[in-house]
Amino acid sequence: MTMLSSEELEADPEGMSFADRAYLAIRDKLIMLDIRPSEAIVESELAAELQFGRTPVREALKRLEADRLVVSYPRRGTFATGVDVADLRHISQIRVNLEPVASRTAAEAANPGTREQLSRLADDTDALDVAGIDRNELMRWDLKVHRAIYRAAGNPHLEDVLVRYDNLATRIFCLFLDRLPTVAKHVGEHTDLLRAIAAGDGDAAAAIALDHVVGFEESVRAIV
Amino acid sequence: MTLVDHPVDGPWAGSDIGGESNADRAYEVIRERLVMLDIRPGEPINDDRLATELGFGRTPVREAVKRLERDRLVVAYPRRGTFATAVDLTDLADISEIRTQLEPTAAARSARTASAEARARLAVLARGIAAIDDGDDPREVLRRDVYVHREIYRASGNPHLEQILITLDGHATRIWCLFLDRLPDVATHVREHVALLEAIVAGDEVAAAELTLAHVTGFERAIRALL
Repeated sequence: MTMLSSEELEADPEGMSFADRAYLAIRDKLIMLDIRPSEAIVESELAAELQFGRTPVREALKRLEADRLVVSYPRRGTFATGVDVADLRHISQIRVNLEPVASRTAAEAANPGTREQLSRLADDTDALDVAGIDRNELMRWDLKVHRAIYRAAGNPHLEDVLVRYDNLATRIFCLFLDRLPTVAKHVGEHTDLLRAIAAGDGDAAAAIALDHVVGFEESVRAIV
Repeated sequence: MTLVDHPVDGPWAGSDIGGESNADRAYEVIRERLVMLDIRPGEPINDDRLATELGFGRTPVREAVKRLERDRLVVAYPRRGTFATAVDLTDLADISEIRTQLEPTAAARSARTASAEARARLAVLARGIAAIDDGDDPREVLRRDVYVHREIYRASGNPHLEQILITLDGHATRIWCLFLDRLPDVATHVREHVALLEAIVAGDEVAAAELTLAHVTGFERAIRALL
């Protein structure tokens, strides 16, 4: 099965500026831990590596700062943000509130075309070889499923927030992936969630989404 | 407890570190103009003119405008330029959908976890709000409303929640401003915060959450009644 790159996950790949492309490439590196939490980021090195100019890279880093994936300190430089238990709690608090709302709204309001698309995504997720799949591809899949749901909820403000927090949560997921016993279960929950939304079952969709977020936080807490 | 070592003291002290940059200041000033409708919805944004008018360089203004684009307060169209975003009824529903979840959470969390200093600050704020008069300038009253909200978000101790709610409160305030001439009871609305602030100071998280939810839904209802 072909996996989508993060670029293709975005709504409108056409008309993307260099800064947009640099943003997506660096964001991917941060989420998938090619750049580790708290690692120093050198603008010129990153520009050379990604073959972008320094201006788009600088602009991308500003955006990533607003996403809280990067932090910059005057005279000390720019770093990937650290991750600690307080962050996990803060991030979960937001997702516990909003993920069920997005799933419920998607279930109740999505149009037939979107339902059809989510239903196909459920089938494709079901067919994934979770044990054999590359870690980064699995994480991209995870991001893709969540984004499809946020988009289906039809609230751009909600989508903005949830995309940002899904990125932060996925980065934490990547940090502990090797030690989490529940990856297959986690992916399986997506299938159920997508099917509940496609079927228009708002209560079930909200309940699964809540379990999914709470389960993630608990499984990470159990190993730290 | 740390999962991954920080090379530096705090995880995300963000704006607190090393003071504000010019881009931060430009962002705050232009944001305030957009929220209070000194720049009207749909109005074009000219970086050069703003830079001259505000006495900033072009680079910080450009950076600020990019940030405002991510806040959905401005929108850029290729070859046409940048504009203040329009405000419509869909926005009101979309923003309320998030605020009804997160505003009570923030208030409850503040009631539960705020430091003694934060509680003292909120108590002072409650006394000031109680003294708002029906005859006060409604725009000034709204500014104080924004300030109260920010202090509550800050007292919640969750910087992520604070950031999201500041962005959303900006959108809500923008809608308020749009209807300010037709909303007679802005002072009453803002004075509702006295009970909320007192609940937080007293550590009553249930009351804080309930009062906040009533406040957010009351806002949406008041606007809808005018349409």
